[in-house]
Amino acid sequence: MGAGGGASATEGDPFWRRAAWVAVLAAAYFVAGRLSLALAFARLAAPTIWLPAGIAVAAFLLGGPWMWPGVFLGSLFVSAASGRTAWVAVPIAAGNVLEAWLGAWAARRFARGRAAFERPRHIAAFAFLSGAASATVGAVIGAASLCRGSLLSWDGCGATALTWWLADAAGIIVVAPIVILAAMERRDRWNKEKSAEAGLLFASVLLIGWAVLGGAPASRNYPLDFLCLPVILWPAFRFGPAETALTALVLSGAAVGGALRGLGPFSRGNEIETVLLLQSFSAITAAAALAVAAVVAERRKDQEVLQGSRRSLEAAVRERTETLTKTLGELESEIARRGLVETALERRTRELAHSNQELHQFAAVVSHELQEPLRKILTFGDLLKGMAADPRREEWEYAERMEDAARRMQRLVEGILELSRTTGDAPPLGPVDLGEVAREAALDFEPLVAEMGGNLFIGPLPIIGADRAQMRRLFSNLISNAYKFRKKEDAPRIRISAESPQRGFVRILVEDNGIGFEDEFTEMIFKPFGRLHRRADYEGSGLGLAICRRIAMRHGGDITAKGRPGEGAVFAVTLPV
Amino acid sequence: MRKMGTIEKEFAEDKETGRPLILMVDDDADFQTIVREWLQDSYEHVGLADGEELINEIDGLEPSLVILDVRMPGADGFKLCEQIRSDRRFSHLPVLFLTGSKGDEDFMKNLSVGGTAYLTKPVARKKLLATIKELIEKYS
Repeated sequence: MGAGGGASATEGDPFWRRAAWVAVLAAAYFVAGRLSLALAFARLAAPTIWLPAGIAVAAFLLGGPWMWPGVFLGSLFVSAASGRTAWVAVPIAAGNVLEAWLGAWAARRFARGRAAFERPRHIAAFAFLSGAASATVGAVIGAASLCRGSLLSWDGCGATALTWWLADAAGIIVVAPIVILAAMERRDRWNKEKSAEAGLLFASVLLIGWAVLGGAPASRNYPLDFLCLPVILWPAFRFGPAETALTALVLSGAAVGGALRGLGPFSRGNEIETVLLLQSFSAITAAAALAVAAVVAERRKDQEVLQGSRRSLEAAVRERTETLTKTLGELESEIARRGLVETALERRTRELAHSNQELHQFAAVVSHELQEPLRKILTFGDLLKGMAADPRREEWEYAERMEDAARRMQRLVEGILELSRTTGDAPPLGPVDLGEVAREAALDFEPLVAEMGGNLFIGPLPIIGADRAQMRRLFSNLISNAYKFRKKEDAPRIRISAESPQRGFVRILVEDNGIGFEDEFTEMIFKPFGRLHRRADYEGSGLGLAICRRIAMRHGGDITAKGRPGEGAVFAVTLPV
Repeated sequence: MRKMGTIEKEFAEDKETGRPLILMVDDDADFQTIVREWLQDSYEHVGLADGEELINEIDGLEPSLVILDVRMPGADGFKLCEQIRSDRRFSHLPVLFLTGSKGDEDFMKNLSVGGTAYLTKPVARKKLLATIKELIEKYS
């Protein structure tokens, strides 16, 4: 046989290796040829099944056309062993080479070459083209050579060509698959049951072969030929194409053996008829069984593919499920974590609000408690002044100064009290007419300003959602501020107006022509007690603007200031509408 | 604040001068002093530190007006007022409450316990004098 196992001959091999393969092929060809001739009917020139033809096609398909010397030499040796002259032997050998080459070419071209035995369509193509069609070449050349060499009468030439053709065709159809599949098929190891089944199959094949085809004595009177069916279908369904081809070969062998002894269903009086029947039986059985095996194998393969894809699908689903589960777990823990953070945040916010509340309450209580002793100081100062009776006396003046200090302190405490009130809970918001509130706040200052020849102008102001009392305080503080920091030499001019810096906001501007301030103090003036001037020059708690800022911020707005020393200042309160 | 022993003497003085006697209960000594200074030109003022003193002393006196602080340690102004009113002699005695808290609740209680008028601390001199004058003229 040409090649076995995974060690297949290829054109790329080194020369000695290829030479070795050629030698192996030649030897196999020779042995198979001798065996075929041994099984031939004596009175016919052609063998029943020409096994070497299958070996040659298989070798060309497995290795390549470069293996032709193996076929050529093997054929020559067979002829030599049969005592044929070179004149006869060389054309026959050439015919055999040509036939194998054609068969391999046709298989490659129309039957997917070595993979021909996987689909019934390709098996049919192989049987007809590589088997039946190519075999004509060898048969015609072989028969013609024999006749030309006078080894045969020209009368018998046609019949010889016919049997030769069928012998080659049967050889190719039966043997080539066995060789090719044996070389190629990667088979799973059989387990115990499978091995036992294989043994049983082999025994059955032998038994049926002997009993039905081989001419066992008991079967002679019964037409038991149909018993061949199960044994040829068995490997097709349970094993594979290779086993099926082998079974076909064994059955063919049994049939030939039986017929040679004049027994079995194919044994006829006419040898030619017997041979033709045997050849047809072998070729058709092999081709049909192979086709069935291929269908089964294909089905099995599809099933495996299906199962494989199902398995991979299941694995994918499992994987996705795992990923999802993991993600879900992560999500859950993340949610739990966030819940904790949120709870902590809530607690913290509560604590903060609480401590803020406490702080403001504390400030309020402290301010309140501070007021009482201050009132007493003022009252006792008043009593002292009453005792002094004369404002020119020192006691009277000291009491007066004590009262001044106490009154200042009182204003500070009031300021702190108000500041702490402005930072408490959010005020209730209602629609507030800022123009009205501004005019109210301006009432206290208008006469003062007018007296100095100045003016206090209030432009149109919008109605916004705000805390009325705080808006009143805001305007009051800003107007008071503008009035307080007037220039001594100029009449005070105060102007209140509104503009819209962006959607949803209003900006109130309070402009004056007062003493102004340097840019660097812009932030400081809004800080509690952040005063720029000596107290003696400008009276005040130092909390007025801080309260304004608090009010603006509590309403979701802000306050900024811009001053130019000696020219005036602009305070801009931005509030949401 | 006067010591207990001096009260009889004060009363005697009161009788001599014929000036109305005002009893004032307040635990704030400073405030007592201030009020006494304010009242000294027109009234006889007896300051008492707590309700117990008032109960002990009031039987021997003929006050024209009682001024009570609402919040005091021990018996508060309201309880004191009820106690005074339970004595038939004093059922028509004008009682002026001074309260530190502006709550309406205090005001309501004040009326229900039989207070005549009330003022909220801090109280201005003029306001206090005007109220006292009015009450004494009305109920004497």
